[in-house]
Amino acid sequence: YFACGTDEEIDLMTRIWMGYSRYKCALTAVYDGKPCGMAILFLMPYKKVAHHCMAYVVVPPEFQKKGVGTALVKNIVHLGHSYFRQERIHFEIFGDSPLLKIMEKQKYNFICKQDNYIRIGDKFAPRQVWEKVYL
Amino acid sequence: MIIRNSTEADGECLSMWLDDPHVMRWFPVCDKREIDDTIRIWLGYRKQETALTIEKDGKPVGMAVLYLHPYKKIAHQALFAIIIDKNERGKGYGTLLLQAVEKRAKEKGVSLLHLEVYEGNPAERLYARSGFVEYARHPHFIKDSGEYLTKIMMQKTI
Repeated sequence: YFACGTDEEIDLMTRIWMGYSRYKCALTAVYDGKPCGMAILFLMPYKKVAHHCMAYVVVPPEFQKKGVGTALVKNIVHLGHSYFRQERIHFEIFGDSPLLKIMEKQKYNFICKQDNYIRIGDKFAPRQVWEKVYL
Repeated sequence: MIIRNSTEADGECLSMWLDDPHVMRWFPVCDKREIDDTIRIWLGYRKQETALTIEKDGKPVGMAVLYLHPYKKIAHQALFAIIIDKNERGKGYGTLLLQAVEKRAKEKGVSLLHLEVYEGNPAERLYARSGFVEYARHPHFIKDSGEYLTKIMMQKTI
């Protein structure tokens, strides 16, 4: 459910994610002292688009279906709105990611779908963008 | 008229074009710092030979950039941006540059080209004429002086 695939690409994506954490816009979920998921806001660098941002969530398989993703989505969006004054927060979701169910349950607005965006195995899958609005 | 790979020196023209309020309104930037940042990213794609300049009589009249992805799973598709000197519009340079972008994209293994244009931008007509089809709209994407603009997303399989 992420664009990275090789070790090199994972390293690149990790560097980018952790780069954003310098701005205190990343959250880590912890269970028994061990990280069990992360969420991050990709804050926009330009003023005309600074009122919204993209958010991403990752939860390892062993911690899925335990409410970690739901909690991370709620908390990262709360951080975005309350601390970073975001009017809108978007989630970019690839394929049939379990995040889609969270978007529906938490009543996010569907923004768009772009087919054939990401290659998963031999097939192409869409990306979707969902939005939470705070005004 | 020639189309060539962009050079660092082309950044001066890009800066001049973007710094015009009538042009800047169609880009997400609003000041010199943001323009400089955009140019840094744009010209960074010179290394991958996906930053192009169209020149007439030795003078740049437009530029384009193809934002190739670093991840293999999404390397088949790419976003691009185009800008034409406002004094040189209506002469076909945008169409020629767009054709060059498509050619370069194919050479780089891209089969799905997409773009983002803000509502009201006359460039939308160029893209539609060139076979790009709208696949989504993202309302409230730009906020400028308290007003919101919708982002129109278009794509073309090449």
